[in-house]
Amino acid sequence: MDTIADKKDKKSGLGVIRIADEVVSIIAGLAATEIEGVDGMSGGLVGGIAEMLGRKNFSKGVKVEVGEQEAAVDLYLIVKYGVRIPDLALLVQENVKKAVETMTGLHVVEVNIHVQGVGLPPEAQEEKEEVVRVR
Amino acid sequence: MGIISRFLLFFYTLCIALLSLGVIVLCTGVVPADDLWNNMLYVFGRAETVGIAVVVFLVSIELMGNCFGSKGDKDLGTEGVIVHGAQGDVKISKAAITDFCTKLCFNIAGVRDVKVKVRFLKKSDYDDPFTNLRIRLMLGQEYSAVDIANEIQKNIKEQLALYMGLENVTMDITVDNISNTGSKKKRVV
Repeated sequence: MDTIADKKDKKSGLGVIRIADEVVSIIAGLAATEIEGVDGMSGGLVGGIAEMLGRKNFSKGVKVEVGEQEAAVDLYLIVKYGVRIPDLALLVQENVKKAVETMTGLHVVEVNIHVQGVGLPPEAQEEKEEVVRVR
Repeated sequence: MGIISRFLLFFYTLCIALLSLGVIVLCTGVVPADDLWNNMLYVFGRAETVGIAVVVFLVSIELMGNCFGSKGDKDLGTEGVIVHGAQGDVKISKAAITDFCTKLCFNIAGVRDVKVKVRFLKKSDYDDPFTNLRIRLMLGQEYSAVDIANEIQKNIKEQLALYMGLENVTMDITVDNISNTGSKKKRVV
């Protein structure tokens, strides 16, 4: 049976199937944030401003290259403090590959992870040293 | 030597070769000196000559810099590779490591302020890359600088290896300043 990738751009009686890059970005972004240990995606200035204005950007921090049958994904993540990054990265790579391949039929050749920051827990505020007023 | 420096060296040696050829021609009298002098006066009167002279001067400075510059470690950019796997690469940014190390340093008693600088380096094309940390500290006066520095080194190396998979880490710690402020003490229980 033909996969979606095989049918892509094939003219059939029903028409042509094309998958937009943004679709793959959104799938990859959602698959990455599902993993426990990922604090969020690291987007640029425009993405941040759009989010402040209330517009959800599910493809923030995701860059994709989509061909006719293959896709390559680059993810820019912020991880939670205390998580072992190599292990987390492997889980993210597997989940993203599985999600994209299942939903689009494209073969994912690589999922590159770029860790851009470590999200500190809210209770770990640095204690400011106060000047002692009395001796 | 990089490809740009090689190109500049070629251009420079070409200019020197032409100049030396001119001297040979002058000395052997192949071209009469008067003719040559008239031509040179014409060339010196052109604005393009100044431009070419400036370019040659700048190239000289650049090549001199290459001669005297030390062959330091090669900087690998803003991201270091943690894992190079079949499914893709895992890279970590300088900012992530800086934040992580800053937090670890502030967790140690006695540290009042810290500045962390991270570089991903490689000694040569055949060596493994390594991470270099430069940590500048401000400590409280009641604490031992040596003990704190040792604790920071041990702690950071362990945590980077455990949580980030960075095994090859070198660290330079400098105590910049000693703070006079006392530590926070609870007045009541």
